[in-house]
Amino acid sequence: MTHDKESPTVFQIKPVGRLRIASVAAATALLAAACGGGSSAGDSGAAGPPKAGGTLTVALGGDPVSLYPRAVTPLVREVSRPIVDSLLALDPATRKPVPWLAESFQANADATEFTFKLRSGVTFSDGTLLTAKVVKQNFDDIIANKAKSAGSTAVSLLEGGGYKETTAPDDRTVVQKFARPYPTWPLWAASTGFGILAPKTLALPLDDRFDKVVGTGPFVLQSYVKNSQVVLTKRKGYAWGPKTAKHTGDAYLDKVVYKVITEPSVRTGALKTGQVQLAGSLNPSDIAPVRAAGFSIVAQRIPRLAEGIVVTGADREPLKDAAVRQALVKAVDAKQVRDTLLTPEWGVPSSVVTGTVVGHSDQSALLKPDQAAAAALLDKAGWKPGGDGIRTKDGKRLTLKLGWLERGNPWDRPLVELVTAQYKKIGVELKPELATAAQSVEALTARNKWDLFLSGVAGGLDAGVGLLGTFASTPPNFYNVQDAALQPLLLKQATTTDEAARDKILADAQQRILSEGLYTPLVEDTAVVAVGKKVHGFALDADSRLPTLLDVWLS
Amino acid sequence: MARFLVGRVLQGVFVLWAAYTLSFAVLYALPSDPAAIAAGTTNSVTPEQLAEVRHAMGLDRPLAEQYLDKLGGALHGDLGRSVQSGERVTSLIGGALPPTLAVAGAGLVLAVLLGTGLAVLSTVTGARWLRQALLSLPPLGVAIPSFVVGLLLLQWFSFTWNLFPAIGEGGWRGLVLPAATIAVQPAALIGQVLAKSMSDELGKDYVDVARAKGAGPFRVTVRHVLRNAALPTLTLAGLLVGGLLTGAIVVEVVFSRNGLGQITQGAVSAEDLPVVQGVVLLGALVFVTVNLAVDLLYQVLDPRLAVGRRSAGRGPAGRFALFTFAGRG
Repeated sequence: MTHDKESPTVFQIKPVGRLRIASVAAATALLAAACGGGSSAGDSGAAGPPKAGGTLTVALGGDPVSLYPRAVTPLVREVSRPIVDSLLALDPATRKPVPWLAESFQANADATEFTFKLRSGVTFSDGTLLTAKVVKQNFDDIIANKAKSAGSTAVSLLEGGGYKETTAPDDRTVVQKFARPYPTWPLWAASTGFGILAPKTLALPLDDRFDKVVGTGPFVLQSYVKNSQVVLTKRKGYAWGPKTAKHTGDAYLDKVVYKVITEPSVRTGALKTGQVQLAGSLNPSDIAPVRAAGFSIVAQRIPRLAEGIVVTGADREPLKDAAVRQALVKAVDAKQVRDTLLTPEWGVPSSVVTGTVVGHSDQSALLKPDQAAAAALLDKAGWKPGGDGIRTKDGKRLTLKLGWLERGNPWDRPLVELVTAQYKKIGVELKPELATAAQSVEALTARNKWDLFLSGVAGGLDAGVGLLGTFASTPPNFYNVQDAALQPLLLKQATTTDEAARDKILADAQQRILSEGLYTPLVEDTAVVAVGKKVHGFALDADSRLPTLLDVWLS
Repeated sequence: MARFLVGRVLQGVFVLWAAYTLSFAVLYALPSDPAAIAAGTTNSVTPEQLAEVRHAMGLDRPLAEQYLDKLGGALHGDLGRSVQSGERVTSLIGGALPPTLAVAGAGLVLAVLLGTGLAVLSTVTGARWLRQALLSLPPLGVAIPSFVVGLLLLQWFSFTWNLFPAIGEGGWRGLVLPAATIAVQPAALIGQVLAKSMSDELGKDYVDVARAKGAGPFRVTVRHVLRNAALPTLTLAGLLVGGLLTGAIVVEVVFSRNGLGQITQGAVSAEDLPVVQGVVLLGALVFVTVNLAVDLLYQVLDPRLAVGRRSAGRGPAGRFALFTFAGRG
């Protein structure tokens, strides 16, 4: 295995103020990852040295709709990552930012100003040179188009962080300013949504960019046929892979073909017959047969809020009473959920956020299922067992309405049924209501329609954003959060530059949410990818999505 | 003839306008907020940002103004852009039409061949058991969901014997399984109706005359009976087109092909309103055209339905088909 990384441009480790951006720990972990750590698969030594050439066929669970990296679609990230590079990359092992298009970066003491030094000699696939001015253009463009980008993470990350401006003092220096301390900005700068696009793409109106994406990435977009396939070809002369890459130079693969296969059973069949070599979002029931067919399975928890039940009726009976909320948390057995509906690839949630989130704090002690304690809490709160097993108080039954959305997870329906059964054991009647996206916006805005809501895909790499996005009590306050003690914690973590201090606040917030019974985590969502025998060098990115494919090769 | 045509075309234009207006009313005037749906249920989007989005989408203008603006655009062939990707609705639908037409066309040919073959064979055959067996096929064909048919065909012909590709367009080989899947229900329908009307025709006098002249059972069936029995089957045309289009949704999802079905499914689940409206409009256009074509074909096939007279049988089939399409799509 060749690790012929070019003589590394030394990543400037400058502990500026109290903000430690890159630590020695990160660098050593990086080395460990380069030597085959992490969750790479099919990377057996028996395969010999990497070979160039070949076409990798990847199954996509749906149409990407757009290849524009800042588009708001569930799968755009998977297909645009190989086309566009970002200023920084994230090391999957440490989840720390490392150099990519920027060979170094530093923050000022209060993390309101970030200076990126660009690598020299980087070109877009149309030949244009990457300069600081182009980077500035990219960020100016995001802001200029913000009203047309409903739901865009790029916009909310900039606006939520108090973004002021990007300047380009010289050709290779980019300076970004924020109104408030934004210690997590380097983490976000590594995301695909902030991938740097060529001026040629930016010159087009936003609406026309969906299939015309020019970047500096190791692959170039060749064609996109809606609902059918995306074809990428190798970029010749690529020499600026992220620091985490295992080799320098062109990608090994000549071509990547993403095939859109929406039907899960067809996806599995196509894998087994060799019509595709790599497929993500496998159903739990497909994992064993696919593994038996000789595929290796790569599983990595997705950094986000754990899928769970959020209290939306804390301003009224019966959930106004903290004891009732706490009883609901104790009534749920998330391990039983994992064991009956999922496979061992999935973890059992240990906090509000999943284990791969930066700032995750293990709160398993608060999440131990304990029906007796739950029943005692309800008894104490005055809810006495009624005739049909459902508790009552002053003649009222303990009935709760749960709103939930069909999100495409095959386990969601049985999950709701299982939780209903678990609640029933402590005498709580759950009435689930399946809603469309539109109906749930309406019901959550109305505040009084649902007591509980099955929350799905909120949050991201950093705990702060996920917690703020769900538990902030500022408008629009979708989840009707009433906890006055929580809000200061959520706001303070966002601007705390000392890493340890920030972790402490985040841990306090997670503990507060769980001990107040505001959230019951159920499923630790996990990316499960089947990798064919001939595919080598594959590992998921830090955000548990498909990587740039720079290091992937076929034997 | 000209007056008849103009009348029918005007009627068609009215249907299109009504479809457009109705879909606008359903999609935009109802108290759901497309901007809020696009933004999702997260606190990261502040009310101010949402207001900006609403403004950019033109949703803060009076409903009548939005309607007239959109209608004006539609008259100029501009159906707006997809909320999700930004692509023009017209180019989105234009790109999805050819693959859908290919599957639906191949499916229609196959359905006519299979259905006619079944009806003729069941009429010609002397063996009672064979006739019974053949006639029990159509109810079975209608009863099996095309989703199941598609998955079974895939399981055998692609995953087990590896004869045809399971995914994508892939030339004629990629067309075989989807066309076979989509053909099952229309073939059953054609077979059923044609067999029934052929057995009705067999009791008529001209059949006895033909037999008396020495024509064999095959000649009687194909040359004489089939011709006359074809007319009621033609009434099914509108229904069949509707069935093929709804079938396309299932077939395209199962076989991972691009097409109108996928576009519709994707747009509905993502609540991409301009695209949904475009698809509704296209559906209306197809049925207006099919109905007009069937009316004109009647004039050619049956001289009794002379020009200028109102035929009693023409409208309902088409209208029923439109209803089934809208209902299922």
